[in-house]
This record gives sequence, C-alpha cells and structure tokens, in this order.
Amino acid sequence: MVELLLTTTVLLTVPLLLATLGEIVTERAGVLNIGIEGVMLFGAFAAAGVIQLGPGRPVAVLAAAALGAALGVLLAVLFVARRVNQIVGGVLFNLFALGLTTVLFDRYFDAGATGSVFGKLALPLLSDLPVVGPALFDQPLLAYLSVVLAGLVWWLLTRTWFGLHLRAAGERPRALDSAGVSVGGIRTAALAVGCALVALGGAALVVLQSGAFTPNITEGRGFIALGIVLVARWSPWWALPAVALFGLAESVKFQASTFGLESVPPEFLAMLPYLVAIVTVTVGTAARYPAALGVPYVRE
Amino acid sequence: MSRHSIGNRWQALIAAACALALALGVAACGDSDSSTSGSTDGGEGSADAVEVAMVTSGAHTDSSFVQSWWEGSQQAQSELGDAAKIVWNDGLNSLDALDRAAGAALTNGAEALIFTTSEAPQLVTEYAEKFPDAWVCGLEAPREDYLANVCTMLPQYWEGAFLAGALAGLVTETDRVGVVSAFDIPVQNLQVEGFALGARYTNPDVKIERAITESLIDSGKARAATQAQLAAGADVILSAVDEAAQGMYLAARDAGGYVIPQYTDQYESAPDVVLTSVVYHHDEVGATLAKLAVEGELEAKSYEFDLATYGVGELAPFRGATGEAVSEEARKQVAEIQKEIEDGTIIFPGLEELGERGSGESISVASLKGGT
Repeated sequence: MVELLLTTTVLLTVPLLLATLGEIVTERAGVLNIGIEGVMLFGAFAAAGVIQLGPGRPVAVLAAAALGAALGVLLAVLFVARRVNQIVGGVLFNLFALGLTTVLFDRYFDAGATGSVFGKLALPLLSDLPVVGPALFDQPLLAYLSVVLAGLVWWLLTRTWFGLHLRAAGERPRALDSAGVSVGGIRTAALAVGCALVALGGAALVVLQSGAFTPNITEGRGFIALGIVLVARWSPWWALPAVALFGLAESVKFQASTFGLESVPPEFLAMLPYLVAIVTVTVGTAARYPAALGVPYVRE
Repeated sequence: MSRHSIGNRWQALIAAACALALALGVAACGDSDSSTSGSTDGGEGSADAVEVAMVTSGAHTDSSFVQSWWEGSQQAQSELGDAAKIVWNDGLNSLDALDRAAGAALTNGAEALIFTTSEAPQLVTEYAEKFPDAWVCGLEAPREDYLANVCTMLPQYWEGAFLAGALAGLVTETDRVGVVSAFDIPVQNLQVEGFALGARYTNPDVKIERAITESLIDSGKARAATQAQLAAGADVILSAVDEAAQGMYLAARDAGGYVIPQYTDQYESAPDVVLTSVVYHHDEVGATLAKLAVEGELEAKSYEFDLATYGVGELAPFRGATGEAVSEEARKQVAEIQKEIEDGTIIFPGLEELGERGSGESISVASLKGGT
C-alpha cells in the first residue's frame, strides 16, 4: 500500500514539479508569470497535437518545450518590452490560452482517441529496493528527468554567470544594468527557459497521466505551482518536497479506505496541503520575495 | 523624435501585430461548424422561428455527458427545421458564466432556456422570475413547488447505475468493486449509491470502494483513484466522470480490471477494458424537451426519463474480449433485473434517501422488492 501511495504521488507530482521549476526561474529574474496556467495548457496541447500527428511521445515532449520557450519570448514582449502589468497580462494570457486550445481542440482533435502514456523504466538495483524501489525507481523516464532538471535549475541559478545575472535581475536590476548587462535580455531569457519548463509540465499531464488532451486539462495546476514556489522559497531543491506534499495528500485521499480514513471527509484531505502552504508562507520568516519581483525595469 | 521612442513605437506595433494575428487565428478557427456557442447545424430558423437556448458547462467534444446533450440539440434542430432556432452554448464552467449566458439568451429573445447541467438550480428560479414569458428548465430532482414557467428534467440515473452494479456484482472475481466519481452531490451520489445497491443485489458479499476526484476531466486524479481501488482488490469499477475516464482506462490496462463508463457508449475508446457502458440517451432527453418548448407544450412539472419508457440507463452491448468476461448466465440475470426495474418489481427508495452518500450499503436489498 505504501508502494502504491508513493507511485501515485510521483504520478501526480511530476507535472507540478516541472511547472514549479519554471516559475522559480522566471520569478528569480523578477517576472511574476501569472500566465503559467496558460503556458502549461499550451504545453499539454502541443504534446497531444504532436502525438496525434504521429511523431511519437519523445518528439511531443520536445515540441511542447519549444513552444513553451516561444511563448516565453512572447510574454517577454508583453512584460519586459511593453511593461504590461504582469498580473493583468498573465490573467488575460490564461484566458486566451484556454479559449484558443479549446477552439483548436474542437476543430482538429479526435476527442474519443484512446490515450497512451510513457512506459516505465526500472533503474537497475535501485528498483529492487523494498517498498521505495518499485515506487520511486520504476517510473517513466520523464519522472527521473524532472528530478535531474531540479538539479540543473539549481546549478543554473547558483553556479553560472547566467544565474548570477538572472538573480540580479530579480533583486537589483539597476546594479545589473550598471554592470552593462541587459536586464531585458536576461529577463527574456529567463522567461524562455522558465516557460519551456512550465510547458514540459503541461506535456507531462498528457504523456504521463492521461494520454490525451482535454480542454482545461491543467485545471488550475499552474496556480498551485505559483503557491508551491512560495512554499519552496524559490529553491529548486525545496520544490521537491513541497510538490511531493501536494501529491502525497492527493494520493492519501484516494487510498483513504486502505489507511482506515474513510470517516475523514475527502475534502478535508484535499485541503491539507493548502493549509500547510498557507501556514508555511505565513510563519516562515525566510520567505522573502525577490526584491524586484513583478516590477518592470525602467532605465533612468 | 528620439531613437528610444521610435524603438518603443516599433515594439508596440510588433505587440499589436502579434495580438491581431492571434485574434485572427482564433476567429478563423472559430468560424467552423464546431463552434461551441451559436445556432446548431441544421438551420438558423426563419424569422418567426422559436428560439430555444441550451446552456451548460463542459465541452461538447467530451465524448460523454455534454456531447450527448449537444447531439440532442442537433437532433431537435434537424427535426424541427425552420420552425426552431436551437442555440447551444457550452464551456460555461462557472456559475457566473452560466448566469451571464442565461441572461444573454433570454434578453436576446429565447423563448425557452434549458440548463443541461445540475449546477445551477437557483438560476432556474431566478430567470423564471425575471422572464415570466419564457420557459426555464433545469436538470434536477423534482421540486415541491413549480413556478408557472419552470420545468425540471431528470434521467433516472440510479436505474442504469443499479444495472451496472448488478453486472459488476456478478462479474467480480474478488468480491470487490469500485466507483470513481467527481463530486459529492446528489446527482452523482444517485449513480454511486445505485451502483453499490446493484452490486449488493447480485452479490451480498461484495465490498464497494469509493473515490471522489473533484474533477470531471482530471485524468491524472481519476487514474490515481482507479489504481488505488485496483490495488485494494477491486476488479470492476464504475466511472462517474467525463473525459477523466481516459485515466481510468490507463490504470485498468496497467493493473488488469474492467471499467464501466457512463453516459454514452465508450467501448471504442478502450475496447480492452470497457466491460460495457451505461447509456443515458441525453440526446433524446434534450431533443424531447427542446421539441416540447418549440411546440409550446412544456408544462410546469418534472419530466422524468426512465429505463422502461425511454431506455435511459440501459447497458451497451457486450462486445469483444471484455464481452467474453460476461457469462451467459450473468447476461441472463442482468436482463431479468432490467425487466424487474422496467415492470416495477424492483422499487427504489426515495431520491433523498438514495442520494445520501453511503446509502447504497445501508439500504436493505430486500426492501427493493415490493418497496417495503
């Protein structure tokens, strides 16, 4: 039972983790990407569309990431170049994404298509470990990649010049500008990288969970990722336990009878991770936003 | 003019051009026969055509609940021709959106408004009071009092779910079956508890697993819930979700087990795991109401659609490999139970009692015969 609990936790966690990592990148650069839900939706749509066209799931995942990067540049035109209010612009983008993907789905998709998802890949030796082995080390490749990406994002943010510039764009953009680095350029790159990751999260919904696209398939996961970023305190490593908490709560809800929790209302179990998130954000003294988050940079 | 302001102007032009291109793209795509809002195929109706608006949440491409209603709107338009203008509007995924669409339809002259969703009974009353000359109908249980221009409709979901449960009780090899539903609301509970009662009717030893996913479309949650039920030993699972059933099929395929989807025949979606489907013929229900509205024959009452008269809740034919899992004896028993429902030998408890979560396990099976 614990094995199944962990397996379903991973299944439910991967899309959220990828979206959270993407949002961490953009927020560390000072851009509050409320449009994360829309980007995720486009990622899922692109992945399902490519699968329907025939090239297969790996190409679908890459196509979703590429579309995500392109959308990041588009959002940069709005938020960085045109300095559109990031909250209003993000909300409008989400509505646009929902409308466009729904219309295109209605017109071009085979709604009743049977879905298929990535198969599992057992890691030698590790997958033989009792309980955690099959649950954590017998998962689809994309699940392992999402953890690797968490490490890569951490490395990018803390061990590279690009990461240094990116963090400076989110904390002290004027200092970055004084050093001769384009704040707009860095933020645009951050949006491209971040949105590529977010779109990968959307693609994961299709290639790991459903095998097919449905209108509004994301169902607010992008907004949940926005909250998880706070809980994780903008750290890629902390994002791992934070998203696992949400996935675990969902999994427990579905196995309530197995764990003798039938008498607990399912709504209460569903509420728990959000309660934890609110408490964490409220109590956590170190939960400090990047200083220039959501503030467009204007050169004086 | 400075270079800076020229650059800004170019950026603005590029942004505007992008927005225009996207808007044109949407408009071009929306200019199709699959528009989710507008007059249905089959004609715009003549100038004196009676306009009937049908509004709902979800998408008419869901291959399930909503699509079935949408097909009803198409059917009504096709049969009534120029005498009617059936306006379909879906994707209204919030109370606010339903409210606005309902208000717009009646303000624009619709003579009848049909909510093909059970999410907004208060709007039925509200708009009936605001527009006393128009009919307003909703998908809900019978009311105690009806305004002169209100009607309700209720497919008897529990009858079909009971049949599915009876089949599951006969087919299960583990004496454990499951239900994955979206919400803890009466219309869904009637399906869940009807299924549980049906399973107990044919298999007194059966145990019933329940899960609520809080979403009709989230395949990931439906898959996780199904995995949990299969791992707990259930081998036949009823789906009370829409598109999310795709996730249930994946889980059943991985772990071995059968799914009984509802609303439309979904065998083609997953022939390897769909045991049968519970078909509610929403298309017939919707078309019937729309035709009554156009013909001016609606009455302030509850229109109920049952297994006996309308075939609402019948099981789809058994086919392929999954069909072979249903023995001749089981088929015969299910057919007999269907007959008992139709001729009133099996009498269900009141909706209030059956709609309560857990009632499928507390109601005495013996009380169904003779209704005592």
